[in-house]
Amino acid sequence: MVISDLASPVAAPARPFGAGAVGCARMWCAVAAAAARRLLCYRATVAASILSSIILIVLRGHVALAVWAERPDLAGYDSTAAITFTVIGQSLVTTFAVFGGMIDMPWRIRNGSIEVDLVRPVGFQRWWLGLEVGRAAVYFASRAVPAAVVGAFLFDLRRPASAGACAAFGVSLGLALLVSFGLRYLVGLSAFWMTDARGVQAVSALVMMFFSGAVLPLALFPGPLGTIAGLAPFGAVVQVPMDLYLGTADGGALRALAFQAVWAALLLLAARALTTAGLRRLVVQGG
Amino acid sequence: MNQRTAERTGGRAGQRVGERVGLLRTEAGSYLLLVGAAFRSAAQYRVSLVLYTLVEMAGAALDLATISIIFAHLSDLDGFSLAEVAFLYGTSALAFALAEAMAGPLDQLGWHIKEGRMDAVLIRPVSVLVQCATMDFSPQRLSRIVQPVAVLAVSVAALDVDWTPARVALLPAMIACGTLISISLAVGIAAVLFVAPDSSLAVSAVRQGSALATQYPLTVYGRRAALLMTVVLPIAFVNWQPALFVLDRPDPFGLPAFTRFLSLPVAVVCAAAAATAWRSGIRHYRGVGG
Repeated sequence: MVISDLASPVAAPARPFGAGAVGCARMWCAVAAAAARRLLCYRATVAASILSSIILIVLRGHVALAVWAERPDLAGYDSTAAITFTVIGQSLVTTFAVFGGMIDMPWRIRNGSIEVDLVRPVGFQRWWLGLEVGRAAVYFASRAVPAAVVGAFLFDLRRPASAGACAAFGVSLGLALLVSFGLRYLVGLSAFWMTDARGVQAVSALVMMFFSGAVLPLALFPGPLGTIAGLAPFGAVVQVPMDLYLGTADGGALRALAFQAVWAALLLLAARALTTAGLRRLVVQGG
Repeated sequence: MNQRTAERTGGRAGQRVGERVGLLRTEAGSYLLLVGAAFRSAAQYRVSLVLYTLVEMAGAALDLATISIIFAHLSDLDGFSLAEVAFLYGTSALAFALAEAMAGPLDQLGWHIKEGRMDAVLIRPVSVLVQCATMDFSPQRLSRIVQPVAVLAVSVAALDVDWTPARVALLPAMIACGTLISISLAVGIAAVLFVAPDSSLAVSAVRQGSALATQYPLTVYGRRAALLMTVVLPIAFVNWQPALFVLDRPDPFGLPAFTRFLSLPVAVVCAAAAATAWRSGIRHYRGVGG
């Protein structure tokens, strides 16, 4: 496999990518690139995934159209904004793995192959982030963009509010990936404490899906539910990027980006602390 | 053809039918045996059983929450009241929950293939489908039917229709047919995994899509998509067409009245098509060297 060749410290010279921070960054880029190349091997999967994204886009798009036909200007979006939100938000779902998972740490902890990840010459958390960045890049290019393009043919979509909005949207996509990674990585870490992390995974996937804004814009959530949804980190994954795209972010673009950045930093720091704690608990039988 | 050959071929056909029935009974027996084993194994871990049961119930709540939020803002969706949409949701969610409880999440199949566990499945003397359906069977998943049943009961009480014997009889029939169509969809799509084992997500998305499509009035998706889901895909027959009869509504797309009672033949055709797809999938299986 591409990845194991790359990261094997035995087969390769001690520091194949040079010493220091630059070498580290280059190695990390190689990890991400290898993760991306591995995913590109499965062509039929890409086609199937685009098709399924399109199915969900068409369904959710039509539901949104019907809702906004009944109540134009509901929750501060006009009909075109609502459909743009739904279609582009839905096409980003696979890229940010809003349905959870994609980090197969629990399985590797269970069967012991996690020990291989511990001897890699790149930090544990950074290794998983590298895989995720590579995966998300491939998913963005091969799933999100085609799905959004098809969505643009099927529905009347709005372009980004301005060049600034477009730039903010781009930055917020990166931050959304960090938040989504942080959340899913924490869920994955729970496997260090539980032999069977599937329950946590299932609940977290539901919560993330519902509160990310991918199902319905969070502005529709009534009362306290809306307040919770607005403060929780899940909104940083779909709701905030889409608000930046449409220029409907509450309190301006900078505040929205700061919201994402703060959650990303908090989650990654928590993940770091728990990684150390989890690795201390790890017992691999045999080996 | 003289009489003796005719008799012989007739006898052979009869024998073949007998063999088929015997085989079906053996497979049904293995299915029940494996399901029973899953129940006993789940009963070993009580806390886990309770927790997962709650998780599965929460999972079913997501779509309902979406509908509730929509109706918190609207009084009706495309002319359908909350009670009517709840009826559509209840019948669809119940059919899909029953299908998933019985046949398991078949999208896990891709993972089993990639891990090289499929070779062992193929050499066991039990049908591949029975093994795949029971491989990830979890009794906890049965709890998913609780919430659709409750929604259905509430909506039936709230609906303003005349409950004639025909309507009352059609309700369980439409759920049975919907379940069969849903199982056929799951099996037929899962057959793709033999060729593209990495597309579990796409497979589960197609299932989610069909479950989602049936939760809302089909008129929401526009005439073209709705007709596609009636004529090409069997989705309208999971609940929409029979529901039009129960809800006493004219077909918004002007289809003839008898289409409302076509769920059973459609379900049988779907099951046959799914079986063909599944067999062809197995024939195209390539091991990963496990």
